[in-house]
Amino acid sequence: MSLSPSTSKMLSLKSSDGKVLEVEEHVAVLCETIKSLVEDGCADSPIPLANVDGATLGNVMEWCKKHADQKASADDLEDWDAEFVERDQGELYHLIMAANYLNIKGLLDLICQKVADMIKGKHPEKIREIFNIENDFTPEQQEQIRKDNSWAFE
Amino acid sequence: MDKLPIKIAFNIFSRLPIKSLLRSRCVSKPWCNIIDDPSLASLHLTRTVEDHTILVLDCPTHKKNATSLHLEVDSKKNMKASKNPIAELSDLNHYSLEGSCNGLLYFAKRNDQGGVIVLNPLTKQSTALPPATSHSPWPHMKKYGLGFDYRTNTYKIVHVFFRELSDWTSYSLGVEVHTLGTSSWREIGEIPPYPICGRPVFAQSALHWIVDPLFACDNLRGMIVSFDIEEEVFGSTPHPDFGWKTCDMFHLVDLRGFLAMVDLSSNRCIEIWVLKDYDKKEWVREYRINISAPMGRPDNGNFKVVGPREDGEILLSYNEEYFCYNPKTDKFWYIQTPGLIPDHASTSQYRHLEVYSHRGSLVSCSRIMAV
Repeated sequence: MSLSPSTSKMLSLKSSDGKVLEVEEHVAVLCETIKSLVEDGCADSPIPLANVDGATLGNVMEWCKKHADQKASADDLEDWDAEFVERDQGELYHLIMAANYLNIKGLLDLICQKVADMIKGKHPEKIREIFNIENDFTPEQQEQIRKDNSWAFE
Repeated sequence: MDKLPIKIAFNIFSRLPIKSLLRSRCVSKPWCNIIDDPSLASLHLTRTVEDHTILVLDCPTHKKNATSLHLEVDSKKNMKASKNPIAELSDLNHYSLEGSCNGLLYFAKRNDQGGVIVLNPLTKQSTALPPATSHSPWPHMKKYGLGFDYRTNTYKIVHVFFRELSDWTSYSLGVEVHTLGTSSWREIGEIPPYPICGRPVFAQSALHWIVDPLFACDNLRGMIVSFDIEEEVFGSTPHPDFGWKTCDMFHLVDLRGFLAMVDLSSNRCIEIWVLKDYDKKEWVREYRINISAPMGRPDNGNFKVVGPREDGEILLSYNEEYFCYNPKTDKFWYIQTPGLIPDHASTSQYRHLEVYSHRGSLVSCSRIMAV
């Protein structure tokens, strides 16, 4: 029998679609939701995560693993994060929902910032196109809002 | 996006500058509702996304009810106001700008009793406060200050006035406070240690004024008078020892949420001290702006630090002239202001212009009233 060099305890997490992921405890506890389960001694094995699908859980744990790494420098993390959020909207949506459910403030703020950056400086027409939003204003209502905030459209 | 819980939508929108948000109001009705929600306004205040921008308040004296607020648009070599006003304000001709807090500007009626108007220029919502109840025989010497009480989530405005005034050693002051959303003013027993002057700076739950030099006699304990908005008490805020320098050589300014003290006593440079650690009262001399010839003016005491503009620059004024300082390059230059306000009519008419450094917010004063 050989012991693994890492002595960190492993936790198993079960996604909504029944996939089980083995994750080191010090990585998984970046999720406040899991941390409180562990602290309260209620961490069943495997921990069922009814609101997160397997693919998203994999992505979330990848982020947690990177951010649990004590050796990573702030600059390194920033670059890594920038690459991490380069995803399509569907994936971003699932990540936001998962970060919210698992209560990971760092990840939630990161994705929210990414979405904000997608909106920033863009005209309403472009925003509707990017996020596939239906314009439910009448042309008159639309014109009134533009008039009310005309300087913002200059 | 529409499927996101409202809390997450607020998190995302709170990271956008106001200009983007106002534009995004016409994306769809759900977006408009999120942007107009007061919870977003509060969250947005806690972020640092919104930089200071320069506003130009234009009061043409020949026109009635035509005061307008513009945004400075040409920020590089010249200063020019936006063609479209941010807001047009009627009935403001007899009002003067007293200060701002959390993106709300407040105006008081000149040389007259009563009348304070609170306005968010970016959302164009304004509200007239009930007239002050204490009448002073010296209304032109009254001072107002607006601050936010984080404990009760309310805005409070303080009114400092002279009850009696014979000369600079013999006077008595009175103070009353109005909580926005209520219907009256209440007099408090507290008074400032000295009469105050200038516009207040709201920082760290307190309003700050410089002591009025006219009343700063002998054993002056400190040049900054503060009013704690939560406790409703006055005090003196310690500042660096400036030796023999007197109050009239200083003014206060809001530098991105920090209280800053501008030292104009030298004819070679303007120094700006920033209160970096409010609790420890730790002041840091953050800027030293060289104003020796040819930039200097006959009396450097007339320089005024207007405040920050975008890109970390600082705007200064000297009477009707404007200057800019860039701390990164240590450059100080004169700004051209030809046709600062685009006017369709004659520009030969006298107009009173006020250039103001402002950090915008979505805080609504009419909603405050509704609480």
